[in-house]
Amino acid sequence: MKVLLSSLLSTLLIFITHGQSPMKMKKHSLEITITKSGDKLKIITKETSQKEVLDISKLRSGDLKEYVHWNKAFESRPDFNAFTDNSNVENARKKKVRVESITLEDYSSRGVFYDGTKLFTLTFPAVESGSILTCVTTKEEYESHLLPPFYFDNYSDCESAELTVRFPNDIAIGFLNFNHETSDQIEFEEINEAKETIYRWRAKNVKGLTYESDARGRSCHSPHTIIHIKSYTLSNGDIKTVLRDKNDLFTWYSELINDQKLGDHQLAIVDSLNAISNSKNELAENIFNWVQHNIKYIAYEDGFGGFIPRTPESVIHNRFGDCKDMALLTKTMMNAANLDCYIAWVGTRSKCYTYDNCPTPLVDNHMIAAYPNGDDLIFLDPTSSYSVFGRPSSFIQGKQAMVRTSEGTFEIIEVPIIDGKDNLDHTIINARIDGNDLLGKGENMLSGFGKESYESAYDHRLTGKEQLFTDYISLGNEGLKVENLTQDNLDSNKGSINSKFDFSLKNYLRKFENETYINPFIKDVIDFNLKDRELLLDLDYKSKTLVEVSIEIPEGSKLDVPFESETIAENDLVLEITTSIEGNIFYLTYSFTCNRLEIKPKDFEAIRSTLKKMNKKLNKQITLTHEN
Amino acid sequence: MKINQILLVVLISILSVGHAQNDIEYEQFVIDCYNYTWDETFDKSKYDSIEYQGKEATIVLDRTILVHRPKRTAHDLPMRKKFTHQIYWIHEESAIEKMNEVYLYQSSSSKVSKVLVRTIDKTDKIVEFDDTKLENVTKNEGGSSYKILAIPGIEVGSWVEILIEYAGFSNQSRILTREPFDVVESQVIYVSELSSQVYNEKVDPKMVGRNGYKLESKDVLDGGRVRYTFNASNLSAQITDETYMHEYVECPMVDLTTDTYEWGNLSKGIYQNYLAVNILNRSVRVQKLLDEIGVRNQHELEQIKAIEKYIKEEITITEDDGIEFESPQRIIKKRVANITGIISLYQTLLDNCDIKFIPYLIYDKEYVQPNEKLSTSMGLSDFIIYFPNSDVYIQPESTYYRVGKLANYIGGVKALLLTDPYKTYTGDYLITFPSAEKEYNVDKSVNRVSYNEDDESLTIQTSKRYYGDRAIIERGALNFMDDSEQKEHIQEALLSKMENATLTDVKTDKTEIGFNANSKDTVLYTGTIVTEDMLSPIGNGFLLNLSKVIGNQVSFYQEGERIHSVYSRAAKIYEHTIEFVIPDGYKVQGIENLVFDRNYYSAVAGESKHISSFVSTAEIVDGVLIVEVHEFYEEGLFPKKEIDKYRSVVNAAYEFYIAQIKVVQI
Repeated sequence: MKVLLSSLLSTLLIFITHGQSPMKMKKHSLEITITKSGDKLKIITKETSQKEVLDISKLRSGDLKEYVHWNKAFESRPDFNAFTDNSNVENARKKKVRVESITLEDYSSRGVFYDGTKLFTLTFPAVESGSILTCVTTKEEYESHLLPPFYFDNYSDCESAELTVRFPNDIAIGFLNFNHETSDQIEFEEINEAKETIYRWRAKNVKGLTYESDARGRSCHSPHTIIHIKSYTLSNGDIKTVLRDKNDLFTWYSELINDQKLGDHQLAIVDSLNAISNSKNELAENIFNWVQHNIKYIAYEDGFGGFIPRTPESVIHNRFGDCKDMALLTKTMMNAANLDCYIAWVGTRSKCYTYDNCPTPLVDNHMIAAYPNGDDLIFLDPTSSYSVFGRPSSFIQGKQAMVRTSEGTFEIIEVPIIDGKDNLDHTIINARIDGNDLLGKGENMLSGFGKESYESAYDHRLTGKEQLFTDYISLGNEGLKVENLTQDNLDSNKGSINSKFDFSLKNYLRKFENETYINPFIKDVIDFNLKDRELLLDLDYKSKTLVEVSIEIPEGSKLDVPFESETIAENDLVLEITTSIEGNIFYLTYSFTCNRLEIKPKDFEAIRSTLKKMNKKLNKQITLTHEN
Repeated sequence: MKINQILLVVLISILSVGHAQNDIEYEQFVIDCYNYTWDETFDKSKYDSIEYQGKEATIVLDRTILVHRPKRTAHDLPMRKKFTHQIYWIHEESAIEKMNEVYLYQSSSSKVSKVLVRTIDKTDKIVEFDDTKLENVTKNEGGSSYKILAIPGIEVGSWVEILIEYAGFSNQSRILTREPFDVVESQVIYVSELSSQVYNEKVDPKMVGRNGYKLESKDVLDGGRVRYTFNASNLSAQITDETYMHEYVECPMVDLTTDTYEWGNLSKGIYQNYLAVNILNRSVRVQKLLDEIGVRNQHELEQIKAIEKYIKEEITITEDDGIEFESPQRIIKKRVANITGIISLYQTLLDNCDIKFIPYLIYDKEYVQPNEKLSTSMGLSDFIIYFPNSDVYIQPESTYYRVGKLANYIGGVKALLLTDPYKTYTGDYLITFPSAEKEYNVDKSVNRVSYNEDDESLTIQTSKRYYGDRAIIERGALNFMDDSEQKEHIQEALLSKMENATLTDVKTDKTEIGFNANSKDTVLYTGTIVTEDMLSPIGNGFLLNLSKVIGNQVSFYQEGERIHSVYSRAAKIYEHTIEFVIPDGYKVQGIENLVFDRNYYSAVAGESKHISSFVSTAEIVDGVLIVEVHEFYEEGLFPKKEIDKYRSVVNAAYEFYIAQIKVVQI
């Protein structure tokens, strides 16, 4: 059965809700006006979106709507000026028709349980081919550290994108341009008037956003500008600093965080962990593991709850917390055990900023703990129940962390990248031939980030946990049957998961008269491709997949192996193949090492060529010729 | 908003509002019926004997209580409360996250009014939830509203007790047990006061238990109250990862309605609320509009097409339930309507053209079909309009289905005929729509494959043809894509999952949405593929995975013990023709690998019915290997013991897909 109706319908739904609009984006703009009211800043944003309907018969349900997010903790309730302009529509009964249908509902972004965000939906009336749909949204931003970024590209191609910032001359404003080189149409002008300064960026004919799986976040490839208020002059002549650089960012963050003490009940937990630990490092590991396993991660934030952690006491009481809660709890428990430990802000790999090139809260979206072990700093992410003490979580590798070394000091330290050999997927297959099937015994040792993702999938699977292993081990074809599976070390945060199993691969052999063909590269080792890809491919982590295969050659059969031991090492990708025959056993060992965390578009061509070469090697068949 | 939700609002909302002067009395009534406190006598040791190894959690108690006090005076209103009381026993860490984040569904007529949550750990320490945090913490997902909360203090071995009070419940309720964990004891209790029937409200309920729920008792209590108790025990988890299953139809449930409520009441009530209002008869504006959209002097079918085209292409649907979006006059002016407005507009335009039509509301095929003995609005989803003179249907809420045959995905559903209460009607109100026909849902491909010796590649002249319902869905998808999305979509259809392939000469035919209106036309894609993907070189030739041209096929080999019946979701036919031009100087071996004959017959109502089939043939004619594939599936729910027969056919398609032949030099 190829495709079920339901999957087609769901595909259709995806097109309806997420596809590019058949309309033309004429304009989108953001105007930020900053003024002073006494010694306080007043920040008004005015966002304009203007779309032209090209062909009404092709409009999707979402096309005639405008969606606006709102979080009352950070901004005022938006004012809307939204209307359909039919000036260009022949025989239009009314030239301008205002939007009357505005609904408001709660909204959650993916992975967030609750953060207080709401969503306005505006539906445009009286739309015809040729209508221009305009929505102007005006809000006051309450927090001077949290100005919205402006992305020049949009969901579809856009004729004109414009960012304007107006501010009095006694306010110092900074701006940060990202990926402007990808759009050579962006022009900047600075207008200096007697009392105010205007910064303006304009772009014409900006290409619409591209969506691809396994890409990094929009900040990594879309042209955008971030505005930040550096400082302003108070009425008494003093300078009030806001966000000049990473030091100011740290100062603001520090205002939101207070060191905490534990109560007796929580101290008892630390004492119990101390009692079973033989060294400082072991105690640190036990505390980290305790938080990992006893506190569940829930992104349950409301307004400034997204910046301010709950107290360790309440987190232990609740048994759940978000990243900040868990990081602060880990640090507080460690400190209570007389161990040094810090909290650290970090941006996940979905963000492409550093603390130097983007000293604003947009730089990061996560918090972890950091434990100094001699000269090393061990990054601890307790939000992952599966991560191993001493290793960071995969999604912050290579990123800068802002480590709060004391109440008033910090260091920027890069999170290490784990080597491919430490994320090893090692499979041993001992096979024999039975008719058209391949049968045998197998072993798999899975360590590192592969182990973590397997454990996560295992825990979240509702039923058919054995099937998970069959899907994961992915031997030969979908006719794989795994039986008598035993797995050790699934719950441990150390070592590897060791799986032993019997397997059969139905119809894996190709028999033609007196010849049988077998693809001995029984397990796929290259799990990505670059087909039709435009955006950077994020590989999550460096990895190595090693497969050792042995196949019993049936009596009376002659084996032909049309390849030899060989190594291809190009572009940080390594394929190694060794083969031998001993007695009646054919041995093949092959491995693929990917020493890359990501593949940039500029490398696509070279890597496509390498992959093609490697896949050709992995598509070879061995032949058994039967004497009778 | 789905029609069912709208109905609930209309039918129930007034019932759930209480007068202040009666509150105290009512509270006492509720307290008498259900004491809103913890079960302090809860004895954990009662569950010591439960086998839970390998289970993430167990629900030891799942109780729903509906409390109804009818109105007592002519000026009074009836009062209702619903309580749910659940106790979970947590066995594994993985269950904690599922339990931490709780979504409490609430409708506009049955809002969460109070929540008590407590976690009892292994040492009997109790962590209580502070329900003040619930204030305004709601989520809207998929058109439904939820109160959300995070339950504190859960550990492995904990017991979590949740007590929820809902203000109001519908006259027509369904208590459905669909949980990710096994349920030890489940109970639905309905308590009502019978003493005040004089005020024109018959409160004696009509209830039906399904899939495990049985009426345990009907007790007459003090004060003229009556209590119905339905029990079920040892229920399997209903939320699972099983494939080919229906998510709801086998869930244990209890349906409730009132004693005198028949299908005719439901039909007339809905008509009254939706179809008897907001109609513009013979207004100048409507007449002008009918002129503009060109319905004058047309045959009925052309008139229907024009009206549908106007509404589907020019009116935007809003979720806004404001009455301004329900008036046809205003909709014609502003071109924004909610679903009630859309129906009113259809009715207005059709009435003004004197076109005879029958409106229906259908029961969602992917939810639960009603028990014919119990009239209920539960599960009603979409309006359908039937035109008896032309024998065609319109689906007003679908933007891509256009007037014509009934869509396959709603074939065989129960439908409620909506009738004007002021006109005489003597027929059936609940009917069953015609079943889906597999012959009306056909997916074909024709491929001619030739070998290019120079570069060891294949050239494939390929075409995809979609018929009937399949064509309608395809056109619908294409209509809402821009040019580049269309290109990508057609490429995927033609290339299937080939990795290293180039596609050229792409042509399409009959892809415009207009062909969806009562058309039998075929969607056609053609193109030329050059690929090395299906070849594995061997000494003097190559192994050829010829069947890969039919596109990726699913398989399911390994699965644990089957819990649910087999659900074949769609009636469907696949047909493929593959021709391989055998290159000069070569011969082909192993064509028998491409031959399959697998069939699944099931005993339906005592008769053996052919449910699914995969049959393929292969022969060489004049130097060309010709492979023909015929595969079909009937829709329906089949016994779980027949899973292997169904699996065998599905896997035949997969085995065919991976089969190889050998092409070698002579």
